[in-house]
Amino acid sequence: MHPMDLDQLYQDNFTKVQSFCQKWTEDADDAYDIAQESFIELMNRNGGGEITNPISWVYRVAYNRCVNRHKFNLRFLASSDTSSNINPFADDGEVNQERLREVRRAIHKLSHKERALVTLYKMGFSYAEMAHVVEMNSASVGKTLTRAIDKLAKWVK
Amino acid sequence: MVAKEKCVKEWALQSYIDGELDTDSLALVENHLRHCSKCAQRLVERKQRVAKVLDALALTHRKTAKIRNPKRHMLLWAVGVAASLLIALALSGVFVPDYEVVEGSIAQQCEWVEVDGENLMPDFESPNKLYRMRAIAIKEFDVEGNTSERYLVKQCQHNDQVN
Repeated sequence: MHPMDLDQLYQDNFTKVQSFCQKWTEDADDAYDIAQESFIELMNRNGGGEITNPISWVYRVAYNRCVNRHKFNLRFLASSDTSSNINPFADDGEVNQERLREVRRAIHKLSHKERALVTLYKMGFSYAEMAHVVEMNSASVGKTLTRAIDKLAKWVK
Repeated sequence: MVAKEKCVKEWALQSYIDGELDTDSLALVENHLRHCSKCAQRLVERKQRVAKVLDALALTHRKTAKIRNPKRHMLLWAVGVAASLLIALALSGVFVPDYEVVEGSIAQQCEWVEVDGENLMPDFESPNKLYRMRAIAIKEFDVEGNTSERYLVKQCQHNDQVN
């Protein structure tokens, strides 16, 4: 991949990857770091030259890092379950904080793959792209996504 | 006796909504939906469920959008490019100290600061309770071939009240 293409790819996708990561970390800096590290890893892989779908590849790297970070937090940081008390942007009066907490609690109850799929779904990914990111059979994506949507619909008012 | 046509599975309805069915499956599902009022109703309910979930997820997406910082974003991308070039050219290693997370603490209010080599090492006992998490070395070359080094260090405020 030409460095200019790589740069464009970064410009177009960095904030999306960061946004995706923040669904796990719920910490802006962590999400930023993971997104950054994922793109740097792409560069280190010969500029992504041998990778057929660099964007999905970056998301996959970010997804794996997010899951690892999440597991680490669960193991070592007692307060890592921030779903019940996180309020990083309390100044935003437009959004119902209680509803946001409820949604986050529901998302936290999903499995890692379900969580990734609903997030990617919201971001407009196709089933084939989602399958590539979470490393599952694309035929299973529809079933897993359906299950995740049903769970969320049940848990969220 | 004619076998009763099977109703459409939930995941197939979902795939139908998402436009992810192949041509054959799409024809089967559409044909079935024309004759089965029960599945047609399920499709309506499924669409409502999807809309509800997307609406809920939009809340968290709006929150994420607030944290973007393009200036910092560009700076670190430049740092990343510089660091990778250094690796590729084997001119210098990228210095990434792997400090342990202080048990029972959570890093907050992190920021990247520029420091010189002498102030690179972490100072956990700093009176202002700052400690460094990560450093990236940047080696710069001027037109005369002289080199200079500076470091970007991620510095976080230590919150020792947690656990």
